[in-house]
Amino acid sequence: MGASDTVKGASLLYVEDEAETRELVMEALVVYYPGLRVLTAANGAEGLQRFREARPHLVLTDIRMPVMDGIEMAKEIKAIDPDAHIIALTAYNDTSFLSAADIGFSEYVPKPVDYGLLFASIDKFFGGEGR
Amino acid sequence: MKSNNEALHGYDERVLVLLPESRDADSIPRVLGEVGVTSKLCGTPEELCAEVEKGAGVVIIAEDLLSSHAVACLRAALGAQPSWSELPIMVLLRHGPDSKRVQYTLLLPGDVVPIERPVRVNTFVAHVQAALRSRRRQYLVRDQMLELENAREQLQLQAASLEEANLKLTQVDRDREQTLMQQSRLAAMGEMLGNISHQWRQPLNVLGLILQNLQLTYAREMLTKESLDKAVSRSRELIAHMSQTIDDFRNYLSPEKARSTFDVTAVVEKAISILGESLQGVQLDLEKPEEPVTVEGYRNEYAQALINIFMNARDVLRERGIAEPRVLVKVEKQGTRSVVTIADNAGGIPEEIIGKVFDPYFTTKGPDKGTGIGLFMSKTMIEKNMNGSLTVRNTPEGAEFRIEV
Repeated sequence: MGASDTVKGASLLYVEDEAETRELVMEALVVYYPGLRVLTAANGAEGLQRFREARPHLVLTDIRMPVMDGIEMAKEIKAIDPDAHIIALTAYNDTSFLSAADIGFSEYVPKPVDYGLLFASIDKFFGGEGR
Repeated sequence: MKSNNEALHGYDERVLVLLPESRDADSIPRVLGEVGVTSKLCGTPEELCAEVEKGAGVVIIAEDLLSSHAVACLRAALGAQPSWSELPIMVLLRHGPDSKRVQYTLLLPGDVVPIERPVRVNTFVAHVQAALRSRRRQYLVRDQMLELENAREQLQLQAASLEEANLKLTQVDRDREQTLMQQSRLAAMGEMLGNISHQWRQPLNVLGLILQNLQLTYAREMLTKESLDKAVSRSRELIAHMSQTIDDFRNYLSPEKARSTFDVTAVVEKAISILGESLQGVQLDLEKPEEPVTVEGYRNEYAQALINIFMNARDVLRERGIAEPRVLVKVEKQGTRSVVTIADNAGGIPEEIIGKVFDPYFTTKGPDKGTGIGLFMSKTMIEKNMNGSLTVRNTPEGAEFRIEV
């Protein structure tokens, strides 16, 4: 609860192609982090576009998406800002054995999403080394 | 064996002689010997008959010694000869050829030649040699019959071993068919499980989020009756959907023991709905007639064939990264048959492969993805069990599968 206050004025870009999932997670983020500005995108290309426009502090993304997937998007984002912090939501076989760092993600949060883990990651970023 | 043969063929050309003690008894063997013919003098009719049974080329017997007893024993000995044998018997007559004794002798089962006395040596020798030649011809027959018998035995042995090999092959075939059936069942189960997990993944994810959101909103005092009702109702929808998936698979993907009458259009639509999420991203168009197209057969196996083809199409569209993947399904009735065509725009099957797509174990996918069994079993099932046909051809855009039942 305490950490959730430190994100006042911060922004997060959430990229997810599945509409219902996107709405539910966005609702959770908005409820848990009242000061956080949450932007959304429905695929990697849109996400890249939003990132360029808004330069959010944190990116949260699904991996398997049409048009451009999460891995491709992370690469592009890192090309724009090598320090960008990207958290990937991953199902069992989304990625091979490559480590997160090699792909461009800062960390993984497994699916089905457990908010406890997700919020811990977000808290760590905003409250600790992230900022 | 060897000594037997020697005995056999050694006696083949000998002349057995039964004469009363006389000058003839001495001179005949000598005369024959001079032309290279071996002879054996027999003392009694019994001895003669015994020697006949051992083997002889010609028998020379004096009429004097042809007692009824002698004739009887000769008859017995000759009766024991094989079918090809007609032993030349030269009878040296004492009186004329008309005596009763000679008449009886003529009835013996041999080649009886009466020789009137006196006979010139040359004539006599000529008779013996003629008889020997005739005997040799009989031996030729004997030898050929033996060869035939051997050949026949060989053939029988070969036939027996071929029969055995055939039985083994039939068994191998049967085993192979069973193995294929089992593998196909396993592969189908594997795909079914894959499908179910695919179908369930999204609903499960969303259910997890809905529940967690209930907790979050309650903690922030933002939970309302309305939001609670909405969450519950949506959750139940998702659960019903997941339950339906199981029912679909149970109903449609278990093997059927009995034939039934079904509507092809309905099965096509069900197959598409079963695949549901799996076909996401692919534009699927269905052209169907107004009236039902009914056929008789195994509905579930038919559905599985359809699912197989759909999944293949989806896979190849994905693999080749087709920009606007499309599958066009047409259901029609042509005469008394139903025709379903499934056409994709994936670019087609290469010429060198198109003849093999229905072969068992043929797959273009890696070992962890394709078993190569699906299309083979589908074709077998439709053509053997439902008297239909399953074929494929290339169109300008891609491949088109055609099922006729």
